[in-house]
Amino acid sequence: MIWVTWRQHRTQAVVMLGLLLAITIAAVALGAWMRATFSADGLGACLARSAGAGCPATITSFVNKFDGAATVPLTIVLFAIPGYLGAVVGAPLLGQELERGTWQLAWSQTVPRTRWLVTKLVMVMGGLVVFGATASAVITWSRAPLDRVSIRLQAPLFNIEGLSLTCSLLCAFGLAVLAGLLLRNTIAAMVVGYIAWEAPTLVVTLLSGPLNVLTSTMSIPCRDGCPGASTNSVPPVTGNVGDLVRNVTRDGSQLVVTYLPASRFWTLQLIEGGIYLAVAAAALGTALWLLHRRTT
Amino acid sequence: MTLDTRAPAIRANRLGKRYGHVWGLRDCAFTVPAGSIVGLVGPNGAGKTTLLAMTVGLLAPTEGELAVFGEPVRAQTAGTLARVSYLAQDHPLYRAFTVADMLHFGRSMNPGWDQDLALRRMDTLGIPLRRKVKALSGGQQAQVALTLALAKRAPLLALDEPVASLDPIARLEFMRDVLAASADSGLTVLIASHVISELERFCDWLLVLTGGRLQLSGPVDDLLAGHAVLTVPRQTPSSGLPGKTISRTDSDRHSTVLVAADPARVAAARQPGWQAEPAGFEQLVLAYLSRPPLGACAADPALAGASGGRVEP
Amino acid sequence: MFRFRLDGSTGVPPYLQLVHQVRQSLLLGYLRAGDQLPTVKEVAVDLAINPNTVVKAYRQLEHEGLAAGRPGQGTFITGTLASPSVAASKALRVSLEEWFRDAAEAGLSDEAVTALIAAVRHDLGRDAMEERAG
Repeated sequence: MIWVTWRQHRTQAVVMLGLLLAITIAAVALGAWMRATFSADGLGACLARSAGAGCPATITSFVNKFDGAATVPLTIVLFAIPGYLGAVVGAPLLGQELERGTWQLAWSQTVPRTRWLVTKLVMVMGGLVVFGATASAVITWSRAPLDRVSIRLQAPLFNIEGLSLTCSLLCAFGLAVLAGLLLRNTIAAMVVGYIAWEAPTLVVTLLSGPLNVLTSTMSIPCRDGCPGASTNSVPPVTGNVGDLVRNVTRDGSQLVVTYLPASRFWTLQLIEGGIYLAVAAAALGTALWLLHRRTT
Repeated sequence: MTLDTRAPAIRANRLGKRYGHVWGLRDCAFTVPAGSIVGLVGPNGAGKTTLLAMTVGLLAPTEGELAVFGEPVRAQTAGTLARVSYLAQDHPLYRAFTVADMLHFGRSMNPGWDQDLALRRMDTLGIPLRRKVKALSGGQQAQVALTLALAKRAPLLALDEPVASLDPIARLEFMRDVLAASADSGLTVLIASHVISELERFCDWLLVLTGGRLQLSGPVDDLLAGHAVLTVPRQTPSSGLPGKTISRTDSDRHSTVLVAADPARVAAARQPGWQAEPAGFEQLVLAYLSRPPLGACAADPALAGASGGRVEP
Repeated sequence: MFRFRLDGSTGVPPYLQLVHQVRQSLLLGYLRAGDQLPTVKEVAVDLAINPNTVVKAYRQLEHEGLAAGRPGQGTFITGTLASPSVAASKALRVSLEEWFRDAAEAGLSDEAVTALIAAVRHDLGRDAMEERAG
């Protein structure tokens, strides 16, 4: 059964490996270049001294240099991957067997169909986790200098670093597997699976964005009116480089700032990851239950 | 695998399967001895695939009991799955696999797999192991699928319209291999088909299904001995005929009637001017196929067409 | 090795066809006592028929004393079929010639003669079967 799973997903595994390799090579090259520039610009020392307040121009130029041509393509690819990859890997698992009639072959051997499905799911998801975790880790390492002067709490970075990529990938996968079982058509399952995946993605985006969950508020005294203080100030008005400022209002001589502290990164990652994984578990659980039920 | 090879190969009792509101199979009862080659005949949508799928363990019955070699069938358990080899319609295979891959598949999924048998068959048939399934001819694909089923070494082989998509030469080769396996190892074979003429030479047991109901079951020799074709004057009422009238064709002056009656009864009831002949296989099967099915669910051609012989997983 | 043939169009049950072919070959001298008949499996595969049909034919031959199975070795021809004696053949030929003259006098065409012969043969054969079963 293990060999069978491997053989059936061999092409997918090879493609994913190739993709991972490409991402790693690009990321390592980028990372090396970034680190060189970082130390050359003396940003490390600057940040240690003044948390970025002392060298806004250097930071801005550094950010512009790397956020442009180099990182954008990589970031976009990784942002889009979970949905597509998950759907493409998940849809044929059940969808193609049912579409082509090979389920009659697969489920009339001596392996009961629930054991068949569980083995497949465990192995394929294992592969997806390895892919996602490695891609996230490699990118995170690569971007480390840039991340010290970037806001990680919003898209697309939030969706690439941490757990988010992997959990999102598993979610798309789970939904596509279920879609394959229900629709019995690989292409339709890919499309429907992807569209269905947009729902938890939307929820997650709303939670970390407009819904302002987990934000903090602080008041900053502002003697000279704090010219130019807005949500887009570099460095952020809160004084801490990674913070995501949501709202800045003036109240007399004070600035009232609503923001997401950078330290909340992992908490938010766990929440978002949890939502994705819950959806994935629900989808796969339903698929297993339906598969089992159709024999009784 | 502990199984009682003296037990009947298949025993069904009040077996039924419902799909939503439609009964695909209803009230089926039959017993088939081990070592026989059973023909399961019926038009498309009659319930042949449903019955096969239940025997294999791919589908669970809605009502009734089914036992294979004395052990009750429990769908989707390893014990049930190990007892029957299944060759589905259109012999599905993984088209991107090589032949060697397909054999590896069989070995991986079946503890009782006979790799030597599989390799010998591929060698005898001249099918290269390195070739992809999609590059094989239809006949070769059917032979690979048959190899998978035979190398599983299960005591019962279930074939669903196995030769429907094959040319006559491939058909013959395929059935020859099945017959050889049956002669070698006492394999019990259950063949579903709607091509009656071919079944005549292969089968020694018969099951006739229409509209989800079993119309006829039994050993072919006994069935043929128990029926007769009578040519009688047109005005002879059915009550005046021996046994049970199965089908009747009326011409201007005479009628041809197929009756279920053994030769003794026919001889006793025979009138001057009557002709009596033994029934032929095809004649017998066609007569039972054309009867309206017993019981409430008469065959609805629209419904039969919709389910079309395919079973839902 | 002795090879059987099957004719699907005659309406004669396959096992009887096999029996007839052995009898025919014995009469013509193509099969002799001691010859081995092909195995059940060989015949079943060769003709693409149910092995049980072959078993039935071989049993019938054993019943008629023409063949015998030796366990582990196969089925062998044991008996012979007596050819009709020369005298009996001659007598039959004479009565047949007389019958043909009678038929011609009665006005029967060749075709009608052939049909009559077939009908009588058929009826006699059927009656024999009914007798056996009854």
